Amino acid sequence: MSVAEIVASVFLLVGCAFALLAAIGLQQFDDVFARIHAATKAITLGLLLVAIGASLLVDQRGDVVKLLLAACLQFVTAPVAAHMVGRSAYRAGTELSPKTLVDELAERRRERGA
Amino acid sequence: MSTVITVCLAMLGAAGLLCVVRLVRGASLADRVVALDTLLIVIVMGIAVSAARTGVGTFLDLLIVAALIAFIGTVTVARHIEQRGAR
Amino acid sequence: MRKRLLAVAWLLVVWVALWEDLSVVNVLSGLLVAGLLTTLFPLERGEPRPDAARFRPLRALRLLGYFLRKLLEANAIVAWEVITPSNEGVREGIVAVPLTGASDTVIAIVADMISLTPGTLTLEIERDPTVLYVHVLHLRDIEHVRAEVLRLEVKVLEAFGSQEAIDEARRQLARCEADLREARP
Repeated sequence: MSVAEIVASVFLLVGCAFALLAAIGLQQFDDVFARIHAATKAITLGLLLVAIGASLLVDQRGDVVKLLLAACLQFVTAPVAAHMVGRSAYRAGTELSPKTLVDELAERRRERGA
Repeated sequence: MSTVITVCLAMLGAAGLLCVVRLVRGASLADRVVALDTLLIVIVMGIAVSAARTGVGTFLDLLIVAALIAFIGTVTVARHIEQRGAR
Repeated sequence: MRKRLLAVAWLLVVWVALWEDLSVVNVLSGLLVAGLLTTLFPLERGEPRPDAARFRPLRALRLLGYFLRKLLEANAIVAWEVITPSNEGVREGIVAVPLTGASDTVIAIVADMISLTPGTLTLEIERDPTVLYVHVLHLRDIEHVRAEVLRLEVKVLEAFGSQEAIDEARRQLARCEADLREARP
């Protein structure tokens, strides 16, 4: 294997490992917000790593641009999507994990309501 | 090299499967939309890995389209959750 | 106006990247499409708020470096968390962090970075006064989280904000760190 192939392999393997970690995280945690943490961010990093790895192996330069553009778009949209799902879930009254220590948002809402 | 690709695709396949599990189990709609978004990105990564395997980039346009659709779909369902309440 | 130019520039880059060909036709058609889109979907509605005052490229690079380092570090932590199934470690919480920076751009960047680094997620953003509600995955110390977010805000303001905003943010950070030190003797 050439140097490019070795480097690309590392990126691809680590990237896919993060995807697997994201999916495992989806199973493990017991409330929506923790799952958002695990899934959306790990997968974004995974996509970036896979995109870098794949761009070392594709033939045409235009394809490299497409890969990196896709990773870039994911980076820009993922935090917004995570925030929106989290916000909507909270507003809709999704229960927090029983292990939650403090909820200052609820406190402040209660203060304002009362 | 082909071993590496096989391992990668196996990991992605397992990841996809776990996403589907959460899609089915997920207590609320929010869980399901997160699982679906993750699944879509796993698919995008699969396309990228297969482009790495063959070196041919014909399908890479799909990456951008899928990533964008995943985002728009997720945000739309999120707004829906807010209006209808968690189910 | 500057926002619109930036938006057109970014759209043009994406357009040309998608066509994979830097030709005159592509650039012109890109400008046309970008202009059309920014006219039909303007970025600001109603009265414009005070915008990010300045742009310091060197600081922006430092911000990027800080962000990438945090990203890798925090992703490694979450990865470790997922592998080692010690479930008693995960204690979540939602922390209210009052911010200073008035401009929408700065708030958006801070909220974005919080949401992108694992372990923190922006749940709600309130304005007047500006408060960020951050959901934290490993909550050990509320003041500590506030200090982290304020530190991030200072870094973002150093890259994009006016000098007064930076000073105000630094003062708030100093107050927060003082509280932290008092809390543990």
